[in-house]
Amino acid sequence: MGKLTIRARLVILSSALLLVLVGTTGYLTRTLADEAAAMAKAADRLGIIDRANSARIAFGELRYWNTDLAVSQLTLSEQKATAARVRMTADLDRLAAQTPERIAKMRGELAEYDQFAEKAIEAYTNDQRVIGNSLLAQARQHSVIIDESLGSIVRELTAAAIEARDRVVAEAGAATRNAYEICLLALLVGAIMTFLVLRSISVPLRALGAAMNGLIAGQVAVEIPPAGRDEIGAMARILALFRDTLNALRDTLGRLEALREVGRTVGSTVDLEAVLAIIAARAVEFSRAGLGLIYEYDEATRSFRLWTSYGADDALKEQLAGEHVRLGEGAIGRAGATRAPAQVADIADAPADAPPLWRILVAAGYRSVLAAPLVHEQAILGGLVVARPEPGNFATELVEMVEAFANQSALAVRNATLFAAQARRERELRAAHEELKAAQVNLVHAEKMASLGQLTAGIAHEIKNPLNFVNNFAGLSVELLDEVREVTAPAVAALDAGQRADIDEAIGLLTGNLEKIAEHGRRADSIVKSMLLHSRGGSAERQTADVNALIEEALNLAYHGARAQNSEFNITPETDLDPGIAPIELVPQEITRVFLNLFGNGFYAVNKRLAQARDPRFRPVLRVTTRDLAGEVEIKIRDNGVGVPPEYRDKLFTPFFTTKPTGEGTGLGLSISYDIVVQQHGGTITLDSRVNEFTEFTIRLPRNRQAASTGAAI
Amino acid sequence: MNIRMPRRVAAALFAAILTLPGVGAAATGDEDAAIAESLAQMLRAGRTVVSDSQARIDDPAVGDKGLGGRAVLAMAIANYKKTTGADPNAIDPKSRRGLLVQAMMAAIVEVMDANQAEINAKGIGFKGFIPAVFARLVGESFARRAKGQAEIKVTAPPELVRNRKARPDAWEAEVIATKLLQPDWPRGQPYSAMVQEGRAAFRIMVPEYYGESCLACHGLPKGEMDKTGYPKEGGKVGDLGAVISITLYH
Repeated sequence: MGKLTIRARLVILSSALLLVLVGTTGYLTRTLADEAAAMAKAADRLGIIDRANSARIAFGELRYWNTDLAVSQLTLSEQKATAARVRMTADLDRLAAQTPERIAKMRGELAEYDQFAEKAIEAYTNDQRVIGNSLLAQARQHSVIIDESLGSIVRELTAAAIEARDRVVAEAGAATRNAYEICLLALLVGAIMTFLVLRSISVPLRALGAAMNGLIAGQVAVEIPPAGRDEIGAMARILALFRDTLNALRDTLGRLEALREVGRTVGSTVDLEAVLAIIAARAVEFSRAGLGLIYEYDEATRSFRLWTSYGADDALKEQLAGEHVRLGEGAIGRAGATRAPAQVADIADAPADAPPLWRILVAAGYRSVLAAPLVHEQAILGGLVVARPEPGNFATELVEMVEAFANQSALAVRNATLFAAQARRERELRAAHEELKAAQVNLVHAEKMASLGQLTAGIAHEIKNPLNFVNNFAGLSVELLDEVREVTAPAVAALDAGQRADIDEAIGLLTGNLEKIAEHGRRADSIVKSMLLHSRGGSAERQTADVNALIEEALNLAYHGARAQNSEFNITPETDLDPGIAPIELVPQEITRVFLNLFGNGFYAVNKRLAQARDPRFRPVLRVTTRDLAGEVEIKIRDNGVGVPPEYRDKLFTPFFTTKPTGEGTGLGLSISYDIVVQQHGGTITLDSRVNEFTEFTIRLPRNRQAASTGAAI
Repeated sequence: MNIRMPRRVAAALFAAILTLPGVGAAATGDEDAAIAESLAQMLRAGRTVVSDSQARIDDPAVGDKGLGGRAVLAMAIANYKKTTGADPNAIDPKSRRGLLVQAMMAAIVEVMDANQAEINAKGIGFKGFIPAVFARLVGESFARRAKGQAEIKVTAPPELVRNRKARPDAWEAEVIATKLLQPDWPRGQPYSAMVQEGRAAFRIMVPEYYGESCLACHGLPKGEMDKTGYPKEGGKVGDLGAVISITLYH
């Protein structure tokens, strides 16, 4: 039945049912027609019986009304009698067709009856009752005959009708049984045929429905019933096409989703390793391969080396990482050279000069590879390779997909590169910005310091005058005491020994005091001079000076300056000054500024270490050593403070660079010192330091400015 | 059939008859008309007595109704006098008119006396003795007493005749159809003519119209049974209900 179309099946079923229906209807029609004829005949007989009965009734009424008329004389009775006669005559006319002879005879009798009855009524009307009675008696004789005749007709017809009725009933019963049997048979045949036809439709339809439900539920691998020649077969073929299309759409959707995910990942992160790992994984997933490799291209060696992988164990990764693929070699090499995807259907069937990579892949169980280059603006960035265990070419859509993944990978690489550059620039800008901000702070501080310097100079100048008085009068007082001793010597001599001793002691004490006043006055004067020198600014006036004296003077000034700022500050300045150093030509104020800066830094470093270490055994030390090195003088300034971290050493002499908190250092000290030593005096200044151990600056000043070509900081 | 008419109407009718120029034959027309008028008035006078006594006649509780022949005749004569202003007994009994009127009065007495058993029967309500029956019986008695000189019959259009004895003959039926039932026939006007039916005869047809009292048995609804068991004719007041047909043989 499956070879027939549904329409043909339904046509056959309908035709068969129609045929059965027509046959059954024909039989029933014929039977019913026979029955109808018999019933019509019976009905005719019944009609005749009715007529006969009607005629009999009408005749009875006629007799009644005639008798009533004779007695009552009412015209109403006459009218009733007339009507009854008309009815009876009509009934007899109809009965005449059945039994003409008997009806004819009956008419004769009726005529006789009428004649006598009319005469009898007339006699009654004329009050001739005796005659009327006689005539009525004669009429009655005819009426008896008529009544009997009609009664016999009714009886005969009734008997015939009953017989006919019984026959019709019997025939109808038989016909009904036959009809039942035929209908039953027709129903049975129709049911069987219908069942078969419906089954031939419903079974494949159910299978088709199940397949549709499966497809709706997303089971694209659902089995679709075999396609026959009928409409359901056509539906099955369409459904198969639909399933294939759905599969294709699903694949496409999956690829698009994967691309979207990759695109989102590329756009959302600059973690290149993570992006490439995802791309490799998706490429493997959608190419139904087992291995995904992403290679990085090295333009220098013109070769590819493994970047990341998916599906490879550590051993395989190690093997793959050890094999670089040259441009133009193997699938990835060709892909890179041509800027287009390349594939190898079976790497097991490789030529002898095949790249070693193939042997590794074959050993790992892979047979076919597909590679797509990572290209950006014609520049090769790398390659994407997928490998699968089955040999054979990759489908076009897979090639396109892998190429798309490769493009995404290239984009990710490009993005990562751009982002790295951008991040680097950003860091540099941020650092520059921070330095600029610090420089701004330091400039402000420097400005403050400059103002303070001017103030200091003014104060120092004002102090110097009274200090001169103190010093002068102290020296003068000593001289006066000598003169007093000389003048009073005679008088003192006259005194007893005890008194003389007291006077001598007093004069000695006064002299000592005055000498101390003079000494400390000189010291104060020295400090004030140093302050004036330092605050006076660079006067490029070079002069011959004693370096050691400058060092002591600066060290003294720095030390007291530090003490002035922090009374708890304590350090042991140590000096190892070469006394054989001949005076050297320099700018004393500038060199003193260098010393002050370096001493200040040393004090700050040891003080910081002292605060950090909290070690009672730690003893801050600043040691200054000078040596005469023939053509130049070397000064070493070493402290045992926190030291200078290596990352700061390159910036140490950069203007405004400082490790001190904002406001405590200008960042200009070492920069100015560098300029003074290197630029102004042609010397060198170097640094040696270990964190939390020591810092040592070494300054070398040439004796002859022209002898040193160019100074440098090392 | 009750063919009762108000007395004033009847008197007017007969006055009209008497004044009709075309009525009656030339020589004996006036006499015939006068005889006919007297006979008709006497019949009506007696019929009026019966009509007026109908409730008493149909009273089942009363035995003797006091309606014997002489009593009824006396009342009829009184009615006659009241209607015509003349005494029927004052008519010359030897004259043709007097003989026929006397015959009429004798017929009234005969009919009433002959039906005393029915009229006076106790326990029976409606006894069927109604003015129409009275008139028919009086007519039959009158015919016997007139001995071929005159006949009087109350007939009607054929469809309204209840008793076949009152059926109109051919002449009567024709007069009713062609004269009295015609729309242009003057209301209440009798029709008379001299006819030759074996011998010459003066025939007169006096129309009578339904009054309100007639319609109890002859009115609406048509077909409904009246108290006599006869279907009503569906008549209305003013319809031609009966015709007094009088034949005076010459």
